[in-house]
Amino acid sequence: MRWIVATALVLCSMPVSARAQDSTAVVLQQARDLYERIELERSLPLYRSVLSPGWRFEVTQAQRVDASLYLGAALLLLGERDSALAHFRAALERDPFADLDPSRFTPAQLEAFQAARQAVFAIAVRPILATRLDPRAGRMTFTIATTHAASVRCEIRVADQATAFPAFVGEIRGGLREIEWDGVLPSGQLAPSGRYAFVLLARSLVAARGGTQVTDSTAVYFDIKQEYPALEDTLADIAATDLLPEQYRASAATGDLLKGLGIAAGALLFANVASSQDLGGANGMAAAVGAVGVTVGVTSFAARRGGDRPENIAANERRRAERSAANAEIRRRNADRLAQTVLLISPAAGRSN
Amino acid sequence: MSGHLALVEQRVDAGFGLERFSGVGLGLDIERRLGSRFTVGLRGQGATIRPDSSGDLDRRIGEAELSSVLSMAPWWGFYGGVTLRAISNDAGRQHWFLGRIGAEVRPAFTGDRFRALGRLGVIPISSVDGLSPSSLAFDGLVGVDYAREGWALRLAYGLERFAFTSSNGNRRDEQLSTLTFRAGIRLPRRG
Repeated sequence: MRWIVATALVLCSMPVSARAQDSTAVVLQQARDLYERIELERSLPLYRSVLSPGWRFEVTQAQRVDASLYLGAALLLLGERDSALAHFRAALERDPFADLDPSRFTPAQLEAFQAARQAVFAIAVRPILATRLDPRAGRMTFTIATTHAASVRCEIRVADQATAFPAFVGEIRGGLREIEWDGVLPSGQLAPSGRYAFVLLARSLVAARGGTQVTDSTAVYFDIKQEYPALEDTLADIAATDLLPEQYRASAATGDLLKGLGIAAGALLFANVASSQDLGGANGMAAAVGAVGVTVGVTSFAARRGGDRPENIAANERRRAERSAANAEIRRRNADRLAQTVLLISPAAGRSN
Repeated sequence: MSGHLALVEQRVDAGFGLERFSGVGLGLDIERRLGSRFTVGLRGQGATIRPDSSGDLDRRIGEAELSSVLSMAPWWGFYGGVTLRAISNDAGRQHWFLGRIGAEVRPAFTGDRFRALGRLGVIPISSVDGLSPSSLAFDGLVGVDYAREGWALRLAYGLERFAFTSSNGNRRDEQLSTLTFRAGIRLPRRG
């Protein structure tokens, strides 16, 4: 007995939502079949049961809109115009994109649906599909809908900034309208990566004629990611320690003088101390070398003291110029890569009405 | 590879008073670097020196030297070498064989084109015909080097001093001084 109960529990825990949707779809299909066979009275209870608060199974937005449209259409054919209009309005309020196919419905049904459009004011923006936009060749399209004539303002807003710019401002007659955008900001700059919102603000022109202003707004969010080949880093600044000294140190000049004097002292030392006292030294030779040493030392001291080092200055300038040229070339290559940027657009969470 | 012109002066006191000879010599030097620290060289020189007093004969000095330098740093190192020398006149010839070792400094002047040059060393091997080994033998040199791309100059004053004892027991002092002007070219290294 226990295993029978356990089996029953397992069966009951199977995916309920899938079966529930299947049940709703099955009933709607039965109702549609009856409607197509003009068995309107038999289809009405099925549609009503699906729309009833007591319906036990899950109903999607599209199924609810579909049920309202067919219920309205059936009621109109049965002569219940007011009820039909009420269900058409319900469908439009749920989905302003809802429409009747002229090839499948009668002119009377289409006329009644248009009347329902005039009686209700609803707006919508179609969800954004993931797309890859090449700003040089393509445009992305936002599709908006209003149930009847309206004055609309479509804005694109950078979600985390106060930046907003209009994509379309004007009046539309109702129904669908496509708004195109090339991915470029009013400044001419390509839209940077980030989150954006497409905001639709609308004011009913029909209701305005009646003396009351009816307005509505909605928005959809989307993410933009710039895609371009990897950029190169420019060369870092040349550190002072990597450059050659451009001036002689004072100690260098002094050192040169001391070296020159050292040569002279060494020569005199050899001639007068290291040489035999009995044999005598070659003072003339020592004097010649000493004089040259002193001349070199004094000349170097005078020339180097606090003076510039032209060869080092030139070498440093050469290095700086090479670095600048290399960076200019890197920037040019990076600019070429950025010019190939495409925008990856994807829908983002968030929707407001 | 370089050639040099040298003023050569020899002073000798063999117990009969100072004898002084001087003259001009010419020579050829070849040096080659082996690695970054070692340099070997071959030098040959010939000179004719004349006595200050009219009673002596002219002398001819010919010598060949194999030398080497080990650089411990760009500005100093050790040197060593062996020298074969022949001193002759119309009456005879004397052969010298010398082995020397010492230290040298080469501090550069700013700009690296001029370098001071100083050497001081001993001559522990001194074999001279007819003389016992020198009880005192040393050499030294002081000068200036100048180098540009591909060529180099040197002016240097060198001194060699010896104190021999002759076969009859007399002291014999000899001193050789040279003032050398050397000019050379640097050949590019192959490979």
